[in-house]
Formats: sequence, C-alpha cells, structure tokens
Amino acid sequence: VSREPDFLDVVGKDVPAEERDRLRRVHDLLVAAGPPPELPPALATAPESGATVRFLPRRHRGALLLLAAALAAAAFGGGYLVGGRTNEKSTAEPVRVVPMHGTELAPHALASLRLAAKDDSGNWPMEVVVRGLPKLPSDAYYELYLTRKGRPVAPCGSFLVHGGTTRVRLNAPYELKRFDGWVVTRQLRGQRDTGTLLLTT
Amino acid sequence: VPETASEEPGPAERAEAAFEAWHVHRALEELPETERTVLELAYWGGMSQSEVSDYLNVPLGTVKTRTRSGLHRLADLLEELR
Repeated sequence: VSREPDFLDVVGKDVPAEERDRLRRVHDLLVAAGPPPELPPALATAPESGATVRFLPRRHRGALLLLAAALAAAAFGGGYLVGGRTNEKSTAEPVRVVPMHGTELAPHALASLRLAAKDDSGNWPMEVVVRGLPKLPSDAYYELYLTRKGRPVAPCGSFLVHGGTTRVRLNAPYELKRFDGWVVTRQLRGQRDTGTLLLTT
Repeated sequence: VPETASEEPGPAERAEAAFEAWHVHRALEELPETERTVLELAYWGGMSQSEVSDYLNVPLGTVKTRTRSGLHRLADLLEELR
C-alpha cells in the first residue's frame, strides 16, 4: 500500500554498528507487521495543533486512502489469524481468539474475545477478558456488539468491570460471518441508542 | 504444467506473522504519542523523514530524534513481551 521506508533514512548513517543492528531488527519487524487493523491516529487526524495545513503529495493521498480501505477489510480477519495463541487461562477451549484495543477514548484498554465452538442451537459462547476500562457509575454499563460496516448492530451482552482485569462470559447468538468486527460501548441505563465506542477490533 | 510447491506462506506461517504483528502493534501503543506518530507516518504513511517533518511542521532533527528514540523504546518493549 505504501512504499517501504529506507532504513538509513529512518535511523541516519551515524549510528554505531551494535545499535544499528538492534534498530534494524525493529525496523524489519515494523515493515513485516504492516499497519494495525485500524487506521493509526497519526494517519487519521490532522497535523498538530497550530501547524500549517499541508496537503500530502498525490501519491501519499492515494496510498492513505488505499490504506484505510485495506485496514477496514483486514480489521476482522486479523483477529481470526491470531486465534489460538494466548497465555491466558480459560475453562473453555477457544476456537478463535479475537484481540480488541482501545479507541482514542480508552487508549489503554485491551480485551480479547475467546470464542468457544458454536453449539447446536447456533450460539457462540465466549469469555471476554477486559483490561484498562474504568469502573462505571451505577447508571452505566459496558455492552459488546457485533458490527457491520463498522457500526454496532447486534448486541452480545452487557458487563461491568471493577478496574484491573475482568473476565465475563457472554454469548453471540448470530451467524458471525454476517458481521465484520466487534466493539464495546459504554451505555447509560435506559439509553436506547448505542453508546460511546471504547474498544474495537 | 510441472507441479511446484507454492511459495505462498502456509497457515502456520501466516498465523505466526499475524501474532508477531499483533505484538508489534501492542508495543507501539505503549510509546509516547510523539514517537508513535513519527513511526506510523514513516512506516505506514510512506513518508520520508523530511516529509514527516513537513507534515508535522516540526524540525527534521526532532523527527529523527523521536524516530530513533521510538525504535529503541520499541525494541525494549518487544524484548519484554517475549
């Protein structure tokens, strides 16, 4: 989608050999990793406050648009690819593990959805492990949704956290292939529309 | 047509690569925003260091310092995760 950065341009030529080797390994990992399955904030927002507005060169604008499209398509699939690799203990053997990360409103929040096998009735039982979300006041709760085109459309259950790490069992009674991702929102009791997005895939 | 082995990575290799990428992305989230921003623009925005400097309207030297510092911090974080 975008050109590979030149290592010497990135780190400069005046780097001692040992340091250069260490940085080279990180450089290679970044190149291999590619962008995360959500547009990084640096590529999604305007330049720093007070900066002169500058338009990107045409090749960059095209690259960023393609990057955004590719990331949207990869958002859900990326979660499946890392399935099965986790150190966290669970009582049910997951068939898929979907990592979630915080939005700009909860940048330190993380979660993983450990989906067990679908039962005969079409339910996908799951254990949700959440870290970094704050404890909510009594009139609010968190809700897990499946998304379509990035919009929360199918609720999969509510939960509370106490701070630290919370594990909760929820269920997705849907055909998962009809959806493209997951989000966690903060809801107010009695609120009918979907609340603030705090975690996403 | 002769039968040849595919050069495409298999499921195990793809899963391993995805797992490595997940590690890198998680480590990036731990960086200070100023360092993370220059790395994202350089690696995934397709910009040279000079272009990052123009884009952010900060001196080239600052971009280079943040970039190198970010890479060092990322190396430390990735070693911690292993």
